[in-house]
Amino acid sequence: MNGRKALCSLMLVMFLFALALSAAAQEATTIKWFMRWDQNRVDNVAMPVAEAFTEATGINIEYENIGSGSDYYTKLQTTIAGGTPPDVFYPATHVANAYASKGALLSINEFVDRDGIDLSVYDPTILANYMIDGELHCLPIDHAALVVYYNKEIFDATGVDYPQDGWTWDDFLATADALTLDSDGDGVTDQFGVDTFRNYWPMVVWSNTDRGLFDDIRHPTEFYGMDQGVIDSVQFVADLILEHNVMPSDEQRADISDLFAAGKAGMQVVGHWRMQRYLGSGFDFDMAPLPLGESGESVNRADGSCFAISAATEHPEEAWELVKFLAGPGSLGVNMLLDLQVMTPALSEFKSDPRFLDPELLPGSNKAAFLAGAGNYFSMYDPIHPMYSAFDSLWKQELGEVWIGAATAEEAMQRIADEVAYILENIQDYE
Amino acid sequence: MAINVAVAAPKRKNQTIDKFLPHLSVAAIYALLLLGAVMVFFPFAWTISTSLKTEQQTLAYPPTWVPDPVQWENYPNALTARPFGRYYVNTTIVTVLSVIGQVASSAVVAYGFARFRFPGRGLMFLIVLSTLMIPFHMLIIPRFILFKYLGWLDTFLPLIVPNFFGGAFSIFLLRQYFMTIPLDLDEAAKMDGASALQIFLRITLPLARPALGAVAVFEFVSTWNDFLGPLIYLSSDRNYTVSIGLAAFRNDYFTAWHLFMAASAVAMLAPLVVFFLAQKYFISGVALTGSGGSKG
Repeated sequence: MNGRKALCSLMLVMFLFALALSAAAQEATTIKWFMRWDQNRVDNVAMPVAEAFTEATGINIEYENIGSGSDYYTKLQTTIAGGTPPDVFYPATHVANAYASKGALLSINEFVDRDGIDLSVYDPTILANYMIDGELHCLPIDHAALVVYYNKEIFDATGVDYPQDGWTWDDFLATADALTLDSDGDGVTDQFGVDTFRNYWPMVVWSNTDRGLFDDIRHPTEFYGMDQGVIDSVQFVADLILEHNVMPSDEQRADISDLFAAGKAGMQVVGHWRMQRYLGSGFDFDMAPLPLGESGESVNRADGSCFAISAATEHPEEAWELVKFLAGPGSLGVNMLLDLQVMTPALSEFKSDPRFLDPELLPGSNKAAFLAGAGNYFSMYDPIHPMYSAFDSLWKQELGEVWIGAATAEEAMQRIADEVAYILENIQDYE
Repeated sequence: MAINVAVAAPKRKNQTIDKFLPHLSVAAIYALLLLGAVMVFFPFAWTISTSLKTEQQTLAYPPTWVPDPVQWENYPNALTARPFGRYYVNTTIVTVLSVIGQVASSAVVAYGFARFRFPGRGLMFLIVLSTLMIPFHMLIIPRFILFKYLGWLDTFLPLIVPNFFGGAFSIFLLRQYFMTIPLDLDEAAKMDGASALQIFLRITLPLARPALGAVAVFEFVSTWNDFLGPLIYLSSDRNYTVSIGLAAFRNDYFTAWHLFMAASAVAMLAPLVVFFLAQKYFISGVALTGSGGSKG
């Protein structure tokens, strides 16, 4: 009888233990990770990183990906407003700042201090993009550095010298002019010097003026739109289309997404994210740094994307572990991305990594062109302030007229300056 | 004599014109229709052409119409790049249930507005119609919060259940049609002892088949192609619909046009089949409302 009692007791204890184990297993934390990557990065980075993270930490990941930025932000905005944001997400610089200023992002200062993360390993200008009032709101993974890609085969065929470090916008124009061809003499351009890059016009402004578009990128009070350097820079870009005919108009592009990839433009001004596509294009290409402007300083972009934690997360510790795993010093996420050749890393240690500078896929190439401009980084989304979206709509509308020759840069910038003056007067409405 | 000739000649000319005028107008109508058909067919032909190109051919400048070589493998490649079989099943479930819900509920409400007299009827109908003016984007966040509290996020329910509460456009279309059915039929049925429900089910609904068909077709096409709703409410790959699956082929920097178009061509099949099977209802719907079928 006692033996039966003991057996029953033992079985009861084992049953309760099994229940406890099962409950513990069910309570394993799951965090939501919401991304906007292409399928290549989803398959080759996100999925393996998520698996490795779960294996290393026991924290499960519920992964969701929407490739298109506008759709991604529509959903992100809705989930944040609806009170069910993902734990970890991937905003671009200006979006991260807009959300941080509304209190939607968790400050990670405490985690950084506690875990002794050495922030000096990040490029300081890039890191500063994500600091608001001394609070760091996310860990940057990359910056959208621009270079001039050039098709060596087109250069060789037209007998044009490859671009050299230290070349200027005048050299750029002369090169583009030499590459532009009407092969059959029918009056229609068959090969353009450069594919369109007009939306990167602020980059020409920085190179000519060595400053951004506003006096203070965080707290703008003055817009420099009417400075002659700004006006001349915008007109220069427009004239590449209208006067020199070395860059295609919308009509001439016929909605082709990338004339450089199609082998119909000798150069392309764009970032690292197009490299995979060009590697698959079957022609020999290389990269040159952005041309120098009037300032004589090499410049580049500081803005990029980062991994942020929602302020409303129920699992801040676990979310931070994932952010560290993705973008922290020596992280697996950045390591895997480097192998894919899809980004210019924000972490200085990876900038000198041979996998970045001298990849097997592009032996002997000038990958260092992506690093040009260090010390003179500017944000394409200027100012980093909630009023940016209003400014963005404004310049797109007004400069649209300049690109088609319906207005001069001066006329358009005057209209933009008038509107911006009103915005700046009422800037509290945007905060 | 000269006068006779002068008079007779224009007559012959007029007769000739009169004879050919109907033919000319028919020819002009056909020419216009042909032009319209070509304009409508153009994007479809471009979709098919692109779906059979290599990735490099999709970038060709100037663009080419004829794929060379023809890449039939784009279709299996596109359809296996993502679990499109599951997406099709999900889209079919959402669409079929939405159509049933929309037609059934809108018919009941429309019948009420068309046949019953009650205080505030005009005002209520006005309120129903005014919901057409509310942009969908304004409702996204309130609806999202509502469905969150109901625990419906990442399920098909937010996409299906609202359809069981009628749609202003469908209610309007059906009400207008019900009003064209003579009241005498209702009176006769009443005299034979039919209840209001029996009249609705046995007299009105069978007579309103063209309008019900039109509502069903509009709802089918609209739900099948819906992107924003599934984007907002669904988050698991297993629950995605075809429209979300298609979005996987594009991002901010790159679109795999050849695969995107191949998957789009297959995604188009269901609405196309439904359209051809029910085109007389669709056209009668357009004639009824004078619209191209946009739904509020």
